[in-house]
Amino acid sequence: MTVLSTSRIRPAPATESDSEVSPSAQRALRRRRRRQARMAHDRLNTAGRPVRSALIRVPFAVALIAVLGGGVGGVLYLNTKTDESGIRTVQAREESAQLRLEIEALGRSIAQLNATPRIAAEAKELGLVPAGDAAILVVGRDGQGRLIGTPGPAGQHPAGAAASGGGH
Amino acid sequence: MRDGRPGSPGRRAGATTAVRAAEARQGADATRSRRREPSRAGSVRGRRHGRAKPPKVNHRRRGAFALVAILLALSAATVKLVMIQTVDASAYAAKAAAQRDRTIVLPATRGTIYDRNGTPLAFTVQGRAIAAWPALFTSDAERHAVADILGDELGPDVTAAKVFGQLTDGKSTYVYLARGLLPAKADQIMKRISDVVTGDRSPVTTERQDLRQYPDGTVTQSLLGATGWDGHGTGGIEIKFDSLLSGTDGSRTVDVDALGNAMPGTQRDEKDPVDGGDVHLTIDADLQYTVQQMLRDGVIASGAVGGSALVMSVKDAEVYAMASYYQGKKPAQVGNRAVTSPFEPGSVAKVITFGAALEKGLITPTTHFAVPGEIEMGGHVIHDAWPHSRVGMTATGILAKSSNVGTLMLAQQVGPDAFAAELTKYGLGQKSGIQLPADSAGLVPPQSQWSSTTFANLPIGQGLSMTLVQMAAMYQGIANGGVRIPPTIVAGTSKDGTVTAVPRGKPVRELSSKAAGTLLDMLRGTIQGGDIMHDGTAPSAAINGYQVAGKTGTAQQVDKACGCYSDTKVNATFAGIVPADHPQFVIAIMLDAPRPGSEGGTSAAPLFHDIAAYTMRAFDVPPSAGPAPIYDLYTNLGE
Repeated sequence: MTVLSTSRIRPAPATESDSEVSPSAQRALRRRRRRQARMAHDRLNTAGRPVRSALIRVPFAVALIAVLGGGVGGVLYLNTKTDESGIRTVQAREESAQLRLEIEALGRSIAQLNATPRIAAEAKELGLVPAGDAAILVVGRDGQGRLIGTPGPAGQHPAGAAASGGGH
Repeated sequence: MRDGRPGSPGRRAGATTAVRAAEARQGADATRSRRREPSRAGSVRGRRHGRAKPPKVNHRRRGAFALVAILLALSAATVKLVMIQTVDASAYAAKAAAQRDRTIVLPATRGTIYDRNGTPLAFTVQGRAIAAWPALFTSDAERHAVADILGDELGPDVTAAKVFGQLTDGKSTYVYLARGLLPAKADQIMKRISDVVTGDRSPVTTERQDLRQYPDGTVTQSLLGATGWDGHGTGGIEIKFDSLLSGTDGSRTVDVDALGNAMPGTQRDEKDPVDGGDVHLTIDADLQYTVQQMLRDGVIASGAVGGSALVMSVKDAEVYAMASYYQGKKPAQVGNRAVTSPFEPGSVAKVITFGAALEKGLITPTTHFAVPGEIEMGGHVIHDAWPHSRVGMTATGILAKSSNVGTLMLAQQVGPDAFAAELTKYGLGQKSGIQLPADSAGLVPPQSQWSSTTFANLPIGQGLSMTLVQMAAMYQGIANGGVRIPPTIVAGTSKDGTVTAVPRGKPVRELSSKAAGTLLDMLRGTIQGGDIMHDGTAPSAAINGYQVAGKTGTAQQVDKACGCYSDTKVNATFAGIVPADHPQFVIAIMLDAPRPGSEGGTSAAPLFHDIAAYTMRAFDVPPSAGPAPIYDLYTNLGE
């Protein structure tokens, strides 16, 4: 600090005319007093200035601290945000993997239910039989329906089938 | 240091001073007497006063020796250092990396096999296997608990006793307890297991294990094949298109800690897996099922050992259904015999002789032949399947009644050279090019290797062999105006949504369109019914509303015991084209050894009828415009 206490310096004796003091000592005392006076004068005059100049510099330091603090805070905030979104990503990925498995399982059961052998077995259970070589009803160009073959119960060959390919 | 020296006296205030003094003294002594008594240097207290004899040491030599030893050691260290740092550097770096990181395989999902309508025939879902390290269990009670849970959840396929046996037999360090579980089921089981096991590391774990699904089961098995434990194809389409279906596994590298656990946030070098491509077949799943069922019924009804059936489109030679069935054999044992197993076709191959005769303009459908009861060719006497004296037959009659004698008369008119030339056009003796493994070429003897009897055999379909695919392809050519298109069973492949049409072989003209048309018309005679003058060999193949052209075949099988033709075992074959007036489908059937006495007309033709009738209706084929004309087969029944 620029402001120094003057108490460290022993003050010069008040009297100059002490008979027990030699002239050289008195001269020394005077010199001392002058020096002290000069020093005191200098210091008293400049006592406020270092503080003020220090104070002038304070805002810059505060700004630096603020910037540093803000930076640290910002980094922490961003870090937290990144971690948070990282966790969210992991969760979403897990969820999507889970959903994918679910889709696969559902797709599997669809395919199994949709398989021809299964449908055929179900149809059989319901008492359905394949139509086989059934009679055919054809609507001609003239709008008239023509019957090809002899209709009969499903699963039996119609009588008309035996002859020459087309039983018209 | 000083106080820690072994055997130093207990610490007292004075002791330290004494020791210090002793040391100081000893130091002085050492300086003074280094040359004479170096052995005294070890003494701390200087109590020993006996002086050692002055050693006789060559200090210079000792120094030189020490220097050499040190230099040797240093140079050895230097060499090793250089080796480690330069020569072996990469190996050590790799070792270090291997300790530090672990590469995780990201499995690619195997592609799907679709039928022609986009119905999946084979696809992959993720599955789990449950495995365990038996040694990591803390007690048999735990093993029992885990075994009970698995038995409870998965019984009766997995029993608690079996699992407990696996966990206690001490044979392997890692055992699979259950395979092929859906992930949800595996998670549920693992949740129950985690409640009963203690210990730092769970002795039970799950492994990803993809499950290949075949919704149609055995119906498509001989065609599609299967995948093995490593997920790669072991047969059929699965092995033929394995590289496309497999895709490429991806990988990811992570750092691991001392326990081998991945450290979060260290993933790198991530290579995404490339999922396998898809295969789009020309198969129709419904027709495939129906043909398989009908074939099974037909095989059982005819008392045959087994058989194959095939449905192919005429326009582009796409295989719609391809089935093989052998009684008492699993599909995996049977395989895809329509492609892999050539057989002697018998009379079905007579169309080659007739095609050659038509091509040379030797016959019309009504050309009259006087056919005797037998014919001698190449030193052999060949009969017809039914005994007869000399009869008058039309060319159509010879084909429809499948007269061997008549056909050989025709072949003699054609001549061996012309016949041999025609034979090469039907794709026989060469692979059909269908996209299935073990595509057999069959066997046709080249003319240079013909023996005296060969020309008496080939025109009637003996002495050569073909697969069912080749047989169907031959008839596809006849139905397609004489142009045979190499058959296919794959419509295309797709990868990342890009569909690539499968490359097709070049069409081959096997007959002129006129000859093919006439032959197709004549083939309708086979299906004719009626009186003896008019019934062909296969009236049972007729379908209501549709004209049918076809040919029966009955070829004697080769008896392996004697190397001769068997008298009882035959191949009953049938190849048919429907509708004959507007060809859409070729259906080929082969029955292996139907009960003795049966022929293609009595065993294979009814099966053709069932398959053809279903196919016509399933694919909405319009009925024929009218009934087929009735050909006269005989001109007279005895001359």
